[in-house]
Amino acid sequence: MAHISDEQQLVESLARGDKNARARVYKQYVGAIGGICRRYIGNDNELKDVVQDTFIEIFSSAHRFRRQDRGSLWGWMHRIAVRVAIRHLRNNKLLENIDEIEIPDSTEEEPPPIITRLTAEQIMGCIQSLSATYRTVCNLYLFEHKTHIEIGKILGIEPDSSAARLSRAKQKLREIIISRYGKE
Amino acid sequence: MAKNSIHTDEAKHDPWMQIASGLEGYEQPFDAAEQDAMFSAIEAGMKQREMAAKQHLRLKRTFIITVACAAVLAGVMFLPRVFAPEPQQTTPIAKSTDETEEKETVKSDSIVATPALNNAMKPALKASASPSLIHLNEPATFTDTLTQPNIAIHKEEELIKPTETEPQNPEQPHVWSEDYAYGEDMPLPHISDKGGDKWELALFTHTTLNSALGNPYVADEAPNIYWNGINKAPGLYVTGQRWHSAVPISVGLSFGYKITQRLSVKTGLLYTLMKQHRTIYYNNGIEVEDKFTSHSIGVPLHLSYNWINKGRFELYTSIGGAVSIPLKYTNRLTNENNNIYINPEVYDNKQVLWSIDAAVGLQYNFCKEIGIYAEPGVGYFINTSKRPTIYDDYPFTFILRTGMRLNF
Repeated sequence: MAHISDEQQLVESLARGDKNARARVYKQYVGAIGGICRRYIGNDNELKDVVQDTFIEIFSSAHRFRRQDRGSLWGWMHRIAVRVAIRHLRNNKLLENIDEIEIPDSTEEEPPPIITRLTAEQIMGCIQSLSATYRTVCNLYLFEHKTHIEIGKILGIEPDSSAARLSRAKQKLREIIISRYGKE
Repeated sequence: MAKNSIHTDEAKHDPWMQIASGLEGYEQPFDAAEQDAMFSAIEAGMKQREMAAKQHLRLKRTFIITVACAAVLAGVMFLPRVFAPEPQQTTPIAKSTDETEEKETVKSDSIVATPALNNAMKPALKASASPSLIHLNEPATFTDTLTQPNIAIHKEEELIKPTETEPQNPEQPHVWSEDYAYGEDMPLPHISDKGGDKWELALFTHTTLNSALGNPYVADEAPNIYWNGINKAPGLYVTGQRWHSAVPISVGLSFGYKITQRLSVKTGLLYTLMKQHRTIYYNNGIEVEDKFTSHSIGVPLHLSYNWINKGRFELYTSIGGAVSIPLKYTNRLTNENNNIYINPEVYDNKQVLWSIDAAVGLQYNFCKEIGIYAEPGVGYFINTSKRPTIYDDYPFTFILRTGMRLNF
């Protein structure tokens, strides 16, 4: 990631609408932003749309970025990417309401030992196989470190419902990993 | 990423966190072509946002200027009244021995017939074109009023109590009276006594509101029906187009005729300036900018029905339509990267635009002859041209007409 003074200059250039600054930020971060968005979005075409929307959001709100309030540029962009991805899922009604799901009987939630040997691409493939609802809760909890209360606020559900979804998502993920790569 | 929550502590020890560490620093592999295409789309999106922001600013300025103009106009109309001298209080003159005579004098508190009239008012009264005042001023001077009370009383009766055989003319100018709060129950002031109120002339602006607020039309895949230049090269094809249509600016002049007191028909001329910006993306990475401007003239036809006419306000509904044809258009196609000018494309430019609309109008009359109005409503636009316009994006739209109307 860029040095603080470089970042500051970059943000100022973005805020002025400098096309070269946009190109620089885009080239530097498109892969990483794409990686975040891919965790949420299953479809490749939709993924590109979300990445584009994320950068448009970043470039057009650069003048609002304040280091002291929002930390690093990357952290701020990361949050925008997550917000845009969730907005996309919500707008396309992909976050179906599964509040009525029952808490599963099985309590087997531990990840299979093989998980430590999986590559990033393999892990991503497994996450992509989850439904959008499970994937989103899983992402917010494991990757964005959100609490169930926060997840509930973001998705408009009860914290208990968030916990239930996470529990179910872990089980699903476990089943997917074992079926593809074995247990050990 | 410490969070102040027990849930986070719980999450820290969650064995599934290994997944998160396994994906740390993961980057989605986009190939170069994908990256370029996405960046082009982002730049186009930014342009649209910037243009939308500019339009928003323009609309805001237009609104502020309109309100300011209306305020200035209202000020010009009303300030003379605010600073006009107050009408003098009327006081009865010395008691008369004749009871009937005294009663008549007090009851009729017209300033004309009272001796307390300020001398400053005399020239104004004498200069008045009002027939009744002239009549009153003819033989009976103010001295006369004092010295010859019988004559004065006789004239007051003529003024205040019209005879039963002669119907009271509502158009007849009123004299100042303590009983009137000006502008409430009195008829509207007017500039001239001549002419009727059958005709009206209006200068107005017409805005389509949805298009001012909405997003531009975007087509990822579009046929090359408007383009016969660069796509002739072998292997070159359009991969996408992005359109941005600016909010059309329309101003007009309308003439109206009152068929009855409530029903009127209006027609006139409507000028519309329409601008479009299109970016065409080609498979070899070339972007062509297409800037299009058209000047159209239209003829609206509306029928309006006046529901309420109370004091200075009028409420009416208006229904009708318009047809517009382009008088002149300009079209520039440029390639930013190579700075080359490409010959204008050939396309069907006969953009006849039909529209129908219905609106509710509120008019405020400064005086009988001059009023301002606003007509919010809904409209439906039919574009017969092959070239898409903003009306293809928003055929059904909210509209707002505002303007000034002269009655004569």
